[in-house]
Amino acid sequence: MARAAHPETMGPRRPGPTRTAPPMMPPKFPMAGRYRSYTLFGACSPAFVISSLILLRITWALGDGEAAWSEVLRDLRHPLSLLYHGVALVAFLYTGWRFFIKLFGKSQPPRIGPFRPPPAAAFPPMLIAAWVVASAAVTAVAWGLVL
Amino acid sequence: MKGLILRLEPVIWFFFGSGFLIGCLLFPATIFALGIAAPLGWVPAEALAYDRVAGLAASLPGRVVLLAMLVFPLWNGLNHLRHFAIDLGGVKRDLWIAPLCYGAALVLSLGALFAVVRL
Amino acid sequence: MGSNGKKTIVVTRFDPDRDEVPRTQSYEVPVQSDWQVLDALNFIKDEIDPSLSYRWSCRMAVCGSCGMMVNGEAKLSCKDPLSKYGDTVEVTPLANFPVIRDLVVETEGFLERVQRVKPWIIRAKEKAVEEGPVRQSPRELADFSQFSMCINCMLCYSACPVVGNEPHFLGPAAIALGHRYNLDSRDEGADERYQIFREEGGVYACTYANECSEVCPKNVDPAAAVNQAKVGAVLDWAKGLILPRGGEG
Repeated sequence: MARAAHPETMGPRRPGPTRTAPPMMPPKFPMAGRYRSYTLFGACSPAFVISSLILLRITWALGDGEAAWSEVLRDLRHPLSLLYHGVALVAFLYTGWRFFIKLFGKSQPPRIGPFRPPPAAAFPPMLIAAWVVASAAVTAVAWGLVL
Repeated sequence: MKGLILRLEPVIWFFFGSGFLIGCLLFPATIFALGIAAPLGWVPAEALAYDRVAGLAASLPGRVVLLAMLVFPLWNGLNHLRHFAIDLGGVKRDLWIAPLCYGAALVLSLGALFAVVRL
Repeated sequence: MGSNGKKTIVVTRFDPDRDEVPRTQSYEVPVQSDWQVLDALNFIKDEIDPSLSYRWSCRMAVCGSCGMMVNGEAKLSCKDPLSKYGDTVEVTPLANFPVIRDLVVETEGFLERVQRVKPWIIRAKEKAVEEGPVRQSPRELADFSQFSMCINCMLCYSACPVVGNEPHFLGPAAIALGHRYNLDSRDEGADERYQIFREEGGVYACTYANECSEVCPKNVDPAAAVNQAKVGAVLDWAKGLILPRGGEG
């Protein structure tokens, strides 16, 4: 059974002449049918916050000096850290898949002033290509192959 | 507070969208390299030497990329978390969740700016 | 057009004079293989229980009156073959709407939203008749034609989690309609509509669940319209920062 929606949902500004039964949320929301992938997408949001905070700590440590950097590297070896990063990697890949393939392309207006962006169907391959290039660049830098 | 957030909604959304783009493009490889490969010893030690990493981070392109990777995904995550909370719990608690999320995003963004400047 | 045996149609009933809360009632219906859900409801109304209330008119997915939830999904009941369901089919009123009676929902809130986005062509200065028509190329027409196909069936409102949580939300169809005029080369009222889009419950309340587009029977893709409108509303907002609008206080 679906849960009740907000009691004022889609109601008229002034109540009508007859009593109405309260609005109900979509019965399959949040975890059945297609809503599941949307809810999982929302559940990936903490990974963005936590990974940004970890990167902030890394940046801070780099500013503090070599001892702080070694401490960061030691903390990253903690099993809980490894577990988190495994989960976070999946969360980022899932978010990227939904955002790049399903959502981004059709969100571009057919024209922005005098400019016309590429058609919606062109975006998923463009974004995947950009992801491959960006990932290769980050990997090459991290492994010391370049710079 | 509600009025202020409403007025800033376009710029928050812009940060949110940019956070998806930057987060999804750059974080998977970064997480794999720093969070998984480095601790497991797959990354050569000389690549992780302090002087090299600090030098890369402190270069101008390094600072710009780091700042973008710190700020945009943060706003993305906190804005997404706010809407996720509305989805699951209704709009009532948004009165304190929204200021909390955006307040945290603002403070942490200033922290990120400071962290990048002092490199 | 052979008989397809019997199906049990479980319908939500609500009589505001008698029922405290909605209840369900089951009907055994001998269905034909080519029947849509609406045909079963019409059979119940004609042959079993004339008190059953629901809206319908055209029977060909044009009028947009017969929207309801069938096994938990927002559907036009005239365009939803019974054959794809099992022996029991559950029919409930559109989610996210107050229920007036049985399967009939309150549409006033929807109509108010549609009017709020100023769904008409706004011109700074009307062209004199002698000057001829305002021309539009096929490409300019293609920019918005998809978003003009909406039949106001309200299925998108029934599928949207934000509609059910955020009572001020303009919602998919109304925003898609406003966006349709913003994209129309003959229109000059985008500034006014973007202002409405930035109000409480405007485009930024949308969380892109994309369900509105999944259930839309006319492939309008309201989620695309809402999210394109977000881009437009940001650019319009930024434009307002650089070039403050004259005469707006």
